[in-house]
Parts: sequence; structure tokens; C-alpha cells
Amino acid sequence: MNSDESRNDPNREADERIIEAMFRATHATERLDEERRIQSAMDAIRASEVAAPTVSTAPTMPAVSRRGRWWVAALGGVGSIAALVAITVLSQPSEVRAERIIARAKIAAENVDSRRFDVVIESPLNLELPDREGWVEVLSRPENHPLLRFEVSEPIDQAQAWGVDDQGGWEATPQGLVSRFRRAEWSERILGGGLDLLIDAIPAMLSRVEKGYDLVAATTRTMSPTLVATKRFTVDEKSPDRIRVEFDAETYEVSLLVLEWDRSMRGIPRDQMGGLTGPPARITFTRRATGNLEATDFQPRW
Amino acid sequence: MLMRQNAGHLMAFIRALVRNESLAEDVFQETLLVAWRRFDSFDRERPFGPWLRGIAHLTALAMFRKGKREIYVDSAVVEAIEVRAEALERSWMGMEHHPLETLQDCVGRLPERYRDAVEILYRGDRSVADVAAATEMGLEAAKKRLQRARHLLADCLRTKGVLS
Repeated sequence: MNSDESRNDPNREADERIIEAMFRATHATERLDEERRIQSAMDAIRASEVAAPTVSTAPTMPAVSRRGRWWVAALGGVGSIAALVAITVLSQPSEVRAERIIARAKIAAENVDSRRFDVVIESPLNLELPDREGWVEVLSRPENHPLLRFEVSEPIDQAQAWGVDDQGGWEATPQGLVSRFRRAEWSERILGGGLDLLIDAIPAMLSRVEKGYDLVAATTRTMSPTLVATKRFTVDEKSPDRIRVEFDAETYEVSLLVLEWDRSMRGIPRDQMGGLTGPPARITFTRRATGNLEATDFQPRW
Repeated sequence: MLMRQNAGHLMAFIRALVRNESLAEDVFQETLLVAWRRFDSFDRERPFGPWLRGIAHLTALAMFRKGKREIYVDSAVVEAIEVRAEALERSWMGMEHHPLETLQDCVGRLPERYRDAVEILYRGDRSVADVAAATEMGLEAAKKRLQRARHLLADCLRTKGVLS
């Protein structure tokens, strides 16, 4: 855009370049672009902060492709090398972001042994039923099994609770204890295993990927670092079709978990499913904004 | 905070240097990352802007080389850009009116034929050929007019203390 005349005069060429640059900065989207730019830079900085310890503790597996590295770093005993070939990570930036999120979330999980979430279970779209609401509280995990309590409190006529206490798993209604089950079964018996994503977000997410999920997004551009995984066709129908885990940008603890079922992806439109036997449309777990958990004795008190 | 304070004028400097929007984005990101990593080596007694632009310049050069791209910027031009960027930084961070507002004011003061050409090219996000067609001029004449307009704008900004 500058002429030969300007090229021979550094000052004139510098004038032209600066003016052009200033005009660029007057574009209508520049303010948003600048925010995005800063956010990306901060993401890159955070990624660089955690990259070193993550890489240094990773097992050495030279045969694994570059795209698989972050999983190698994160697997840490919960997965297998074979699983790596089944993983789809869409882009290199996603890989870097996911690596950062996983590394930070793993560290955060080690330092937290109690958490509470509000829960909303949305009925299938074709059923005019109220959403079910409740909460779940997880305290600690002696012997690698969590002590937890999950209560559905709304609507009242559907109130129900599940939990794991010292004696094992239990299920109860307001009328009393319904059943007990082995403690090791808690993950499958309560919310179809969805709770494991709250309790051990990263190992559970990696485990899901092993069993047939693709990681399709890892973003750190919003205030909440986020991982999203979608199910491949081979996974059982009970599993959610999409899993979204958001982490607190400061602490990297799970702040939001969304499980979504969408039968239309497998050729059965959700609005044609009918009946009460199908999965809900969505379950949302939102971290409760309190640092003081209420005392709960985790007994089935009905 | 430091990042936000310096993002605007830093990006202007990088754009002036590389004249390619996607490359400018890459240089910006890398510059801040390198600055963060080397922040301990930054002499706090010295101004931050020139240090940041020095990193940006080296980063741009490295990217040019890495990409084997023939985007040669004469060192004299780089120095001249740096002089202007330094003034721009001061005005970006300290003046009552933002330098981009001052630029807009200067555009308003341009003679009409120059102002029209600038508006079409920059505000309309069009090409020089579009300017030529819209103003019924030849391509070379349009280039000359735009060049003249930019020089007038630079003079105006200097008068107002935005550029040195």
C-alpha cells in the first residue's frame, strides 16, 4: 500500500504503517478482539505454567503420536495405551488447552474432599413433567469409595435419596429405606455413573473417553475452562450423549457438570421416545457457592 | 492489569511491523508469553513499553524466518516505527483523549477528497481498487491519494501530540 517514495524514506513509511495500524484498531470489533487476544495470552501463560510439571511426570511413550500426549500425561493409571488410538482431539490448541485443564483440575481435586452441588434433572422434552431438583453432597473417599448423599427434593411426591455410607450404598424414599447395594456399585447405581464426573472429574472423563467418547472441545476463553465430550455410537444407551465439565477459573474445581441425552443422534428423535423409561433430557450439577457445608451424617434418615 | 494497559499500543506496533493481521495476532500472543517468562529479567527501573516492543520485534523476526517469508522491514523503518510507537504508548495511556479518537478527529479535518478515500478504504474495509473505482481514479492515482492522506493524518497526530 505504500509507494516507492515511502520505501525510500523510513519516516514516511513508518508514518504510513502506524496510521494503518491505528485504523485497524478502530474496527468495530476491535474491543472484543482485544479482549479475546488478552484472554488467549493469559491462557497461553497459564498453559505454560502447568506444562512443565505435567510433562515431567508423564510416562515416556515415544510411540504415541503428538496428538495423544496430553492423554498420556493425564492417564496416570486410569487408562491404557490402547485407548489413545481411539481418541479424537480436534486441534493442537485443544490439546494444549485440555492438557492445561486436566493438569490443573487434577491438582485441585487432590486438595478438595468435600463439595456440594445443586442438581436439576430435566424430563424428556415430550413429557410434560416438572423438572426434578435436589442436591448432592460428597464428603470424602475413604478406601477409594466416596461418602455421598444425593437427594431429590422436588417435586415432593417424587422425593428420593441415594447415598453411600460406611455400610455401603443405599436407596430410600420418604417412606423408608428401599434397598442397599454394594459400595463398589455406587457409580453405576446412582445417576447412571454421572456422579463419578463430580467426584473424580478427570479420571472419570478419561475413563469415558476410553469407553467411547470423543473429546470435541477444550476451551479456556470463557471465564470457565471447559471440557466437552460426545459419545460415539458404540457406547451403551444409558450413557449421556454429551458431557460438559466446567471448572472454576481460579481453583480448577468442577463448577458445572452437564449431562445430556439426545436420542435423535442415534436415529430416534427425542420427541418420539415416549414413556418414562428413557433417560432425562439433561442433568445439570451446579457447584453450590458455599465453603461451609452443612453437617450431614450420611445416614438414610427417613 | 499490565497486559490490559499495554495491549492496545503493543498491537498497533506489531501491526505496523508485520502488516498482516493473522501474523500480528500470533506475534502478540508470543510476545506476551515470552514477556511473562522473562519478566524476572526486566529491569523495573526502565520503561515497560520499549522492552515489550523489543520482544515483539524479535518475535516477529523469528516468525518471518521460521516461515521463510520475504517480509523485509528495514531496520531504519523499525526504528522509526519504534519512535512513533513510544509516543503512541504515552498518548494511549495518558492523554485525556484516546489516540483513536484523535485519529478520528484528524480524519474529519482532512480535505474532502482525502477523507472520502480514507473512509472507503478503512471504514468500509475495502481495497485500493475499490477506492479507485468509487472515486473514478486510476489505481496509481488512488494509491497516491491515500498515501498523501496518511501523511496528512500523521502530521495532524503529531500536532496533537499523539505521534512524535
